[in-house]
Amino acid sequence: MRVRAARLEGALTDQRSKVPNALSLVFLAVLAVVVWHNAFTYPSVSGFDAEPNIAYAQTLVDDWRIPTELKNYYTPPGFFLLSGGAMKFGELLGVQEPPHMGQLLNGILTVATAILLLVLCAIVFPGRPWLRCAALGLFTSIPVVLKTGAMFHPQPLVAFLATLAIVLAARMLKERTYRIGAAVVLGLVVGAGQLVRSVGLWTLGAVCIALFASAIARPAERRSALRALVVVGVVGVLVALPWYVYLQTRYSNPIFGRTSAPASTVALGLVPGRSAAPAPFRLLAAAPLPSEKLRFYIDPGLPEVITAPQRDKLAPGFWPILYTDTWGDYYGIWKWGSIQKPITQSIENRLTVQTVVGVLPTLIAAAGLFALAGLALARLRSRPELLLVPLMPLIALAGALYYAFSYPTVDGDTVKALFLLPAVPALAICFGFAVDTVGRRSRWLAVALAVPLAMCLVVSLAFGIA
Amino acid sequence: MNGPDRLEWLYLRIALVVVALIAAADVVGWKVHDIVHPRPTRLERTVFCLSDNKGVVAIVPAGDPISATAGAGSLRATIEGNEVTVSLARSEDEAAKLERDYRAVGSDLEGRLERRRLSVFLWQGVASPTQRQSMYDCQY
Repeated sequence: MRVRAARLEGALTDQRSKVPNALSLVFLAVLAVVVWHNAFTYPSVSGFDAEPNIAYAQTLVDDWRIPTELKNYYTPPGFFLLSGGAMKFGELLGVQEPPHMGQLLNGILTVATAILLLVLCAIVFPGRPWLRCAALGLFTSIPVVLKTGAMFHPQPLVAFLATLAIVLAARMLKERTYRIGAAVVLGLVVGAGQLVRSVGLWTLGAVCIALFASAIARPAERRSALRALVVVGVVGVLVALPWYVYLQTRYSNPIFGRTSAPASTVALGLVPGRSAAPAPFRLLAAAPLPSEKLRFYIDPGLPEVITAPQRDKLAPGFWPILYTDTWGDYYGIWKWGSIQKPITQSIENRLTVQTVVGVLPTLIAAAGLFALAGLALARLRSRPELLLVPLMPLIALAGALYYAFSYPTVDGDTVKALFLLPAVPALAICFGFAVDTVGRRSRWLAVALAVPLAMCLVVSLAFGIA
Repeated sequence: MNGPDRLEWLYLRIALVVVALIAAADVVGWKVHDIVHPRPTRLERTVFCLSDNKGVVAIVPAGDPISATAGAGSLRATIEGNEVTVSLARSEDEAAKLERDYRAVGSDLEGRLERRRLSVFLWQGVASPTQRQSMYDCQY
């Protein structure tokens, strides 16, 4: 009788999983098509720092040296080694614009990250196919993923490695098997992430905090968890150590490779021959940069964040830039910004649409993040792997705030949504968790939420096509 | 609804309240701050952008009689050896008037005078695409 009941339940679960699983496959297929299209359509030179990035990759594979003369000299060489190789391969194939191969590499990494997201969902939330489906739906349609996946930029690689590390750590915590070999592999992946971008450090932080929390919450496994923590920490740092030593010895800063220049010391009116500058000029020169003011961190950007969400009109602010760069094109690197594509009223209207369609998914993801953070703390003993999910976005946000504050610029250039890309898969799970929890509560609520969400995500997906 | 589901639903409802409270607190804080400290002007942002991003020293005000009438201010800077006078208008109509005034007194302005939304650029020589792009990057 029990066997029959179990079989029946299994069959019902399979039946219930069919639709979300099929939808997840569709999302993956759509993502693959879009990134392929974008890789060969989006101009190689249009992305953030595209020209120095391409020059870095070329110099690295042609001359086997770090190009200290380029403005991105402080970026670790991991991505440029791979993308430079991809460009060489493209030249062999006779591709007209070899940098497109670097963009294709990023497209492939974006799809691979999406697959890892599914794996992570299966580990952290087994048997919840709608959660998986909703998380993948957000990841597939959020413009920051599609935009960055189309660029010649290191961020998709560091996002892939971060997600891989979180998957490995979640499996370790869930199965309670803190083997040395598994810890070494996890340390290698975390270290490799730091050899791509300094934001790889966030992953090291998230993994170490989760392992430490597990060691505290589970006394029986304390020794093995702490041993794994030490191994991951040591290997993770050792892998990236040569790069940190290089930056420290050459530029006196092991992480960012440069020191911040406080804006208030930029004395525009005091340059030779300008000492007689008129009074308004001297007043301007004394003003601090935006991210040195409290306003920068609390200004919601209203009403421009809705009416004109682009840098010509929306004053720099941490949250407005992060939001409009995530859902739209604040900096003008996607739908506008070049001489060939100046901003027009219709483009501005489209950016406004993006601001509006991003509100609901963002609120749901934020609520999911806080709910999961609370749940992870409440269930630390039984499910420590949960902690990894809210930790990634929270650490990423803290890192972004620190970077904006430490490296102030006039236009908020040190705030970009792509800095948070390694945390987007975890944020997508927070979103999926919130949607699934609502859906499990009430079918009507689920439908009421799913319809507008689906519309928002379809509109955003269309925006993410180059 | 089973126990774990109920707990998740409870946490989610609390989280929704937290999100709403954070959003409300931010808007209130911003409004208060806005009253105490006014926003940076377009002129301030343009000057700092030129300095910080382009390494260009701007002179404020620009000093010519037409740009002096620009409601949001004016500045002068040299981009790649080409001097540009930037007049910042408060409205599209004002920008159009500034352009008309320049055309009324200037001779050959082809490739030198450009109105772009609320900004009017007058270049000393014909502006190259990279020179124009530098100014677009710092246009607010």
